[in-house]
Amino acid sequence: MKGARRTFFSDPVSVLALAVLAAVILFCIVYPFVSPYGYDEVNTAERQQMPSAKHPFGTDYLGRDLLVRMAYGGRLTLSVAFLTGLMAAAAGTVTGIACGYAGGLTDSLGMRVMDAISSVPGLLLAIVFDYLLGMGRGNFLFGIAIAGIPPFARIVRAAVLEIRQSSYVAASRALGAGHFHIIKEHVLHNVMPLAAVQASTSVADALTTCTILGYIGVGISPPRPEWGVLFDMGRKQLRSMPHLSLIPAAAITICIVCLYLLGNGIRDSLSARGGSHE
Amino acid sequence: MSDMEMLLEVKDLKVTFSTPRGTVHAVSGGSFSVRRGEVTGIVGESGSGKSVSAYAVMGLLPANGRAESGTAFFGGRDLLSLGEKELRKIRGKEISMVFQDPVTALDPLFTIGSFLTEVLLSHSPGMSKKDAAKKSVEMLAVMGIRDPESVMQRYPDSLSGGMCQRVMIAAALLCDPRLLIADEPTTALDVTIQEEILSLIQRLKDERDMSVLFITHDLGVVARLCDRVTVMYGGFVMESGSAGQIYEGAVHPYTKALLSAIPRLDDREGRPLAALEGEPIDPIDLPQGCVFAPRCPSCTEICLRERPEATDLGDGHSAACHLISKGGGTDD
Repeated sequence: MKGARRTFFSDPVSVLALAVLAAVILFCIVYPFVSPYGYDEVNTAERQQMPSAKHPFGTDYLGRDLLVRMAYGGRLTLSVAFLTGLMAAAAGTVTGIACGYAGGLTDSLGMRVMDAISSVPGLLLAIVFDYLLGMGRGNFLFGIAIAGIPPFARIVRAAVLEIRQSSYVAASRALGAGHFHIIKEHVLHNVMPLAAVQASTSVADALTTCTILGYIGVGISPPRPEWGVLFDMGRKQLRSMPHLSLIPAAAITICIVCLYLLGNGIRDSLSARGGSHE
Repeated sequence: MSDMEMLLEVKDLKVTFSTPRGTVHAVSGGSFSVRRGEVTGIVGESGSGKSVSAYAVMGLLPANGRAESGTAFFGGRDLLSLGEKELRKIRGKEISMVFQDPVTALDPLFTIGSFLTEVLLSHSPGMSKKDAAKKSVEMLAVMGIRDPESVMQRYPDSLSGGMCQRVMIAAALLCDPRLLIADEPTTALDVTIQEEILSLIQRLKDERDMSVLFITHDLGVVARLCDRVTVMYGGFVMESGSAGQIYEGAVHPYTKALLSAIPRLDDREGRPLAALEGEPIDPIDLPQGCVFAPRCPSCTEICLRERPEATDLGDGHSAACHLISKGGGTDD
């Protein structure tokens, strides 16, 4: 593990991706506290302003400061992305391990459920959940999380099938280890790196879904300035004030790209250990 | 031979695997025993059921495998009738196992130290981590590993195959088992390292009053180490007896064929090595008669029709062959 960490931090792209993500998250957490403006503070005297020293990202049609709105919206968007992405990761890991380790009927049933879930587009699943469980109460989160489970479960299951057949599991059993011990120690530890890679993808996918939902008005809705919502509002003035839509769009893109690069970096640093991880 | 000195006695073991192609009869008549303080070797080629027999005794058959019938008495208990929970207490503590490929038998993510202490702690929950580490270091030293403290900190990928096998043997012996099952423990190692590991097993057996069930396809290894030998073919026991009885007075055609296939350094005449004609039997479709009949140089009509029973030749020597039960013995 130590070697893998060194490989990760010796790759400038991975380090940059991690740094940018950390900076964005930190900014979103801190800036609303230090900003002179509230995210929903209307100021009709300063409507429709281009970026300036006073408003680095300009203001919208109600004179609200875009910078603080971006920071506040980032809190919402990123927490939804991480929360649902990691929920999917946790549920996917458990499902994958259960199916892969138990095998047989459990495996067949579990994987068919996964097939059923993945046959519905994630976006549609989120909309359906929001509609069925009551709109405007954040129920779309379950939809995003559940849509993220199948790819995760499949990848983990495949890895577990291999681990279960490994000599070290057989040796462990021969030395008296129980199934619980083997799952807790050998399976979980060996699946973890793979899960870490897939988790970054899950979070990126959740971020995409979350902003699309905001954009089409199903997920987090105005006045809360989710990034997808901000993009939708700015879009109406794309010609006159392009920064109002381009800044949220850029933030979304940057975060997704960084998450993918992070996943790649983790994967590369683990495979660089070569034979030892076979 | 009194029952007292019997440590493990397996009788009429039958193991099958259900596969999409049909039922595989991996072991159909597995009978062998290990006496206290002795090494029993099970010899056979791939698919003879030697490893499967050991896995069945340990209760470690894969999900599609089943021990259909037979008994395996160990310390008064039939291992085949025990549940997983009881077996888990026996595995590693009373019966341990060492495997063919020591490098892959160690989880790459754990240090040797954490692996060994984990084995100890799982069998003695009251033990402190410090004591477990201390005992592990001592055991590594017993294995002839120099600088055991530093080995404790290392990961398996930084150790050689021989070193890994020593670690595996250390893990197997940590809880002082009465029986060590060694499943081709030297097959994946260099010849020089093989010799070291064999000496190590021999020495440990003597020092610890332990018995060993040694599974191998290498008759040379058997000669070097074993007190008793069981020869298996196609899931059946062909012949068993003391090492001397097998090497000097083998009666079964299969055993004879195996022995004549060993290259000999003292053979100055340069005779070609005898190779056995034909192929091993299909374990899904067992022949009606003797499983070795299709390849047997002395096959007769009854061999194709009926399965031979094991014939007692006295002094613990027995063989399953019609030629012997008829009282004849076989000619080459």
